[in-house]
Amino acid sequence: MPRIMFRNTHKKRSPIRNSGESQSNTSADDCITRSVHASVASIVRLLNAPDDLVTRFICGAEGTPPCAIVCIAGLADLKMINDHIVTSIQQAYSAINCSEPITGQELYRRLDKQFLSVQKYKTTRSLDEILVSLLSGDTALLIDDLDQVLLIGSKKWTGRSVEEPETEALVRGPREGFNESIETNVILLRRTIRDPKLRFDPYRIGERGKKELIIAYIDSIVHPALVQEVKRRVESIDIDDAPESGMIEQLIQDSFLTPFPLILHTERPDKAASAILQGKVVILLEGTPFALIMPTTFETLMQSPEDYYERWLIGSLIRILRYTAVFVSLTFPSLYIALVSFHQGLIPSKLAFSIAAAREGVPFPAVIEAFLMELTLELLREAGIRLPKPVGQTIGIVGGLVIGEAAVQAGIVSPIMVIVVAVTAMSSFAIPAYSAGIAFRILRFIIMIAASMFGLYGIILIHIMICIHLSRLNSFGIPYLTPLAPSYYRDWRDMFIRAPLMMLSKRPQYMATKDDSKMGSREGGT
Amino acid sequence: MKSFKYGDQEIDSYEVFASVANMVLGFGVLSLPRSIIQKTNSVDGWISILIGGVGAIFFTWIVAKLISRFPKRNLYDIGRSVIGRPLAFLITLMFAVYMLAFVAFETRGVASISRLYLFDRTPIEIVCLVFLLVLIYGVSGPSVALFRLNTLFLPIVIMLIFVLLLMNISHFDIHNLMPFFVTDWRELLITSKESAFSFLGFEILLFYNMILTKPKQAVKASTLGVLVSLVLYLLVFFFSVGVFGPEVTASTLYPTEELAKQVEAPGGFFERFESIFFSVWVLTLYNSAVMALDVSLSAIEAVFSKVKRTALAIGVGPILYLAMMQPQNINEIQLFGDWISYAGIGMGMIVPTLLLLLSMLRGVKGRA
Amino acid sequence: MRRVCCVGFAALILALGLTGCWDRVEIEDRGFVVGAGIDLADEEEAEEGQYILTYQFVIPGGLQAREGDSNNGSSSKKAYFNLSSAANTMFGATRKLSYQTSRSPYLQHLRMILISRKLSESGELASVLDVFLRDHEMRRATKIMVTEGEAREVLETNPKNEKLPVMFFESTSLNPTKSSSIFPPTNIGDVQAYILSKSSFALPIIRKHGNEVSVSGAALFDNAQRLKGFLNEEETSGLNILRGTAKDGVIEVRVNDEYIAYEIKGLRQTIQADVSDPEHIRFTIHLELEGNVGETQERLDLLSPHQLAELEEKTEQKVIRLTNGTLTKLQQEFRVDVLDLGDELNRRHHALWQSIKDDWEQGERYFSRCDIEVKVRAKIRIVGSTLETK
Repeated sequence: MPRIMFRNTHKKRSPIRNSGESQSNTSADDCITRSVHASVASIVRLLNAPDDLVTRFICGAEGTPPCAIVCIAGLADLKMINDHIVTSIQQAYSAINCSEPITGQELYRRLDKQFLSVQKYKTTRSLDEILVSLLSGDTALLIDDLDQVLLIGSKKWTGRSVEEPETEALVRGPREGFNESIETNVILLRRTIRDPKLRFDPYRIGERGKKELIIAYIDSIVHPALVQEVKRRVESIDIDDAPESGMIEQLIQDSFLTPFPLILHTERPDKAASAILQGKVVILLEGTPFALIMPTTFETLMQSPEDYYERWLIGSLIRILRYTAVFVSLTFPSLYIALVSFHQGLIPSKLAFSIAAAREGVPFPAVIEAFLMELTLELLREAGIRLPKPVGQTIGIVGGLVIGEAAVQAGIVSPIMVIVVAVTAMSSFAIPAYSAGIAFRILRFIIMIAASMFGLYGIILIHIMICIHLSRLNSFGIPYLTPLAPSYYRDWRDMFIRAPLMMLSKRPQYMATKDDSKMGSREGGT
Repeated sequence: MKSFKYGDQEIDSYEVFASVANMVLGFGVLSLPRSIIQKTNSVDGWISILIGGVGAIFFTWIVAKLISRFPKRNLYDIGRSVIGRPLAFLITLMFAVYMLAFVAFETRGVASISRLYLFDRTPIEIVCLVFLLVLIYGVSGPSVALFRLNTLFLPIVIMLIFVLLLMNISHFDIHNLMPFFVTDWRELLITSKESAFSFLGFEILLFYNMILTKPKQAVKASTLGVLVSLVLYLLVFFFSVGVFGPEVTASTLYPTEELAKQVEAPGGFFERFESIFFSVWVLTLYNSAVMALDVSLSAIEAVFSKVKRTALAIGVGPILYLAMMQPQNINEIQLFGDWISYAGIGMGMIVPTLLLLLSMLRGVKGRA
Repeated sequence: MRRVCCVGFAALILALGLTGCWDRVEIEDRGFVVGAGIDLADEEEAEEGQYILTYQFVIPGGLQAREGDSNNGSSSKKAYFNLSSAANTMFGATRKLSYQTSRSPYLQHLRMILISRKLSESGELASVLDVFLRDHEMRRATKIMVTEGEAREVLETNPKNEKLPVMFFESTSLNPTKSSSIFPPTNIGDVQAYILSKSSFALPIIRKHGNEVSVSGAALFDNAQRLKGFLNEEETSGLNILRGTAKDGVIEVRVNDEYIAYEIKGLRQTIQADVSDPEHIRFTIHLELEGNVGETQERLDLLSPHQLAELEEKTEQKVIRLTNGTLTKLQQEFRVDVLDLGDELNRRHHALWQSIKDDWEQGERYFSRCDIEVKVRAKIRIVGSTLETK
């Protein structure tokens, strides 16, 4: 990505800017003229006559104002244009009595009221808006002698169908995921929440990209200050293009100095919908299947929709398992280093002897061993992502088994180290949020360094520092360690365990929503 | 709405409770059984602990009453309203110095115990230095984060103590507790002075008044915090004497650590529990130290209002380091601790009482 | 600029931490010491020091049974080796040992300390144990036993089904669950308690016969930590019963010229003291035994209540005989109170104890003068799965 895209990202957030009607950087005349031919000519000129720009002039009988249809093939649905727009215009023309003189205004009125068989269109005078709409797949209908242009929605793009999200597969749950088309995503959300108060507020992001961004929330639940804050931050984004929601995330998050994600992303509509129902705000971006959920707390990183679809006992136990996995993936290699290099007395005698025997021929100290194996594992992980599927799996197995085994046989590492590293890797896969997993991977190395300097003392001090860091983080005004640190007792039912559904009848207290109860208190409600 | 203020700067009663409990539970508990038994020679020392604890609860109540009388005002402001500016200046500065000395003492204590139980050759200077750096990191941000730290750590510490006690039940011999009620009541009273030292810590409320949302609830929460510490001290005392017997407890330097040494999990899984115990204990020691440092910096900031916090934190660092390197051996550390305890009784118990009485006599109250 | 300075300063300070991880010693560089033996030096060795310290080091490689090595090298690699050195203090001796081995001794896994008889008789027990209690590396749970001969010889035994001799000693000494003539293992923490409270105590004895060892009997120490004597197996059995620690054991009872074996399954002991006459204190020790009939050599009708009552009575008489024998030895011959009777007085009759505690075993010898009466109730619960085998 060329650097020019980020020219404004670190400036102080500017006040409200409506990027829909930005200052024109196109031509001098930003209004349409009455002459169809002149207007079409300026459009063609401004776009520099690309090959896929389709212009078609339609004339009626003598005396009737001609009209022109402009669209960009590939973005616009040509079939729909032909069937609906062109056909309606031709019908309109043929219905005109030759004797009456028709003005452009009159033709427009007739089309609008009687003939034009399209659902939505808007009118504009601004050349900029016309260009943006053309580039988004709309069709421009210009009528001679009319000073407005009709922009008719006719987008049709080839894209992916709705598929199961790869990164968030579940055993039990809907197998639908967002895809790159924002209309599909909005439809998926609408199908889940049929509340009339569900709002989708559109924005356009990017000076040159002009991608559509939608902020979704339920008006009667969400706290108004939260929505305002989200909108304020979105409006102050000033970049060339946002190819992925990750960029949006980085531009509106509270702090960029932390490895922990402050905004969650998901590909699953059910996860996004339940977040909206909790009083959170969801951002959808055109061109990416990843939706953003804000605000996020530490506990949401550990939640997976499956906890709620399965029964509460299973959900609770698996959640506890996940927290254990977090602890293991953070601390296991450093505990190994601390115990083997510093505090051998902590290991039971027989185990200590067998570890000592296993490490007899190993040339490196435990620290170096641990770092070597961890780095190798990280390399394997990165390599495995980019390889095509069949090869990727083989590399995983080959790398894991063979390299580990060979290293042990060669006497470079001890077998215990391989076990430690394998268990750590497995636990890190148990964390539902991928971005949290990355954060823990980084922290694991830092803790290993601390353990190699001071043993258990170092591990404890680093943990204290991590806890202090977490206590200071805020995500959209909500402290990151809610509901543990500013304690909201009611929310503890959903934190480490997942209480039975009957007990989860209220929305999270820390969200301070307008409408608290989500179960059971309405008459006749489910 | 509370949750949408940026950098949520207020705390409520559970956090007060956790902070007071964490602050009081600290260094004292490691050597408390020994210092009591050395004077009383029998298990009756629990009465001294009880007396000391009740006294501490009483003074906590006084401090809490004082701050709820002057909401959102710290010691300096209260002093200014009640006894005039120059005296308040003096008292606040003395408070700051006392707290700094407390930090130096805690750090040095941590270093010397970890020298004993965790490390062998690492020099004390490095252990202190690293601890000090983490302290400075903790202090260079909003105070609220420290309170959240307390709520995080307190359950871990309490669970740890219970694990320690439960695993020692098999070594507990009730016969070691006998004979009881053999010590003279006068001796018990004198010994309660020793135990009072272990209960100091609640005076931090004097400076955290600024960020309390509900000062009235602070009374209940802080007394509850001291009560929890009292219960834990009593339990640890009973268990030390029950497991080791009075004579051994009197001659062991850190009986609580020795209790941890005794723990034998079945199958020999945990052989050296005391390293784990001490490492986790560092959590509560860190909490005490960082809150004390935070309070002392707040005190200095209150008096000299132009100083910036980060500069102050870094500036105070070397002074603290020199102070904590001063004691040469265990005796000097004890002496240092004794001085701090006397200062603590003065600043934590006598000064708030005087202020409360004077403010009641003069009818001075804070604006809500 | 300021930020850069601060960061640079912090980096410099942190670099100090990198200069050396002072305590990082890899696990394979540690010399694990699993047992220690202490002897008194005899005349030729006495110039170097008065104590001889022997450490048993573990060779971790010898503990592994690797299949891959079975074709080269014998499968019975020794898993330990012993090293001795002489010095005037234990600490000095330990340091001297580090001249002789590439891995300095690491005592955190020390399991057992063996004291030789001669050393025990000299009364130096407390001084010898001091380093083990004071040093933070040690654990209070390390066990201690007295050896009949020289401790370093006992450490040389090559047990058959354990790789490390010390582990073997330890598991043998843990067999009080099976025999009442093994004195229960004592750890040095308890010994410290005894020393500090100036009580007498007993330790188990370990003897070497050729390449075998046996753990039986008890060594009696007085309150100045001087070895007074040994108790044989029967007397140790009686001692265990009197102390209430014989939870499992066998009593051979003679019935009609044949023996039956009474297996103890539970024992409850309570002591009552009657101090009405301070010169002649009376103690009553109540014992309640529960057990099974383990073996009979006689044709008995084990289901008849009359027969069982007779067996119980015979058992009680046997127990009284056994314990009286022990008591005579303790009171008259050795004059040490290892029954914790003094402790009992301390708890219940504190004032009296304060006045006589210095004369309990020495001086006026109150202990030897007091009357100890043993009352036994034995019950038979189970008679086994067959009624008759003859």
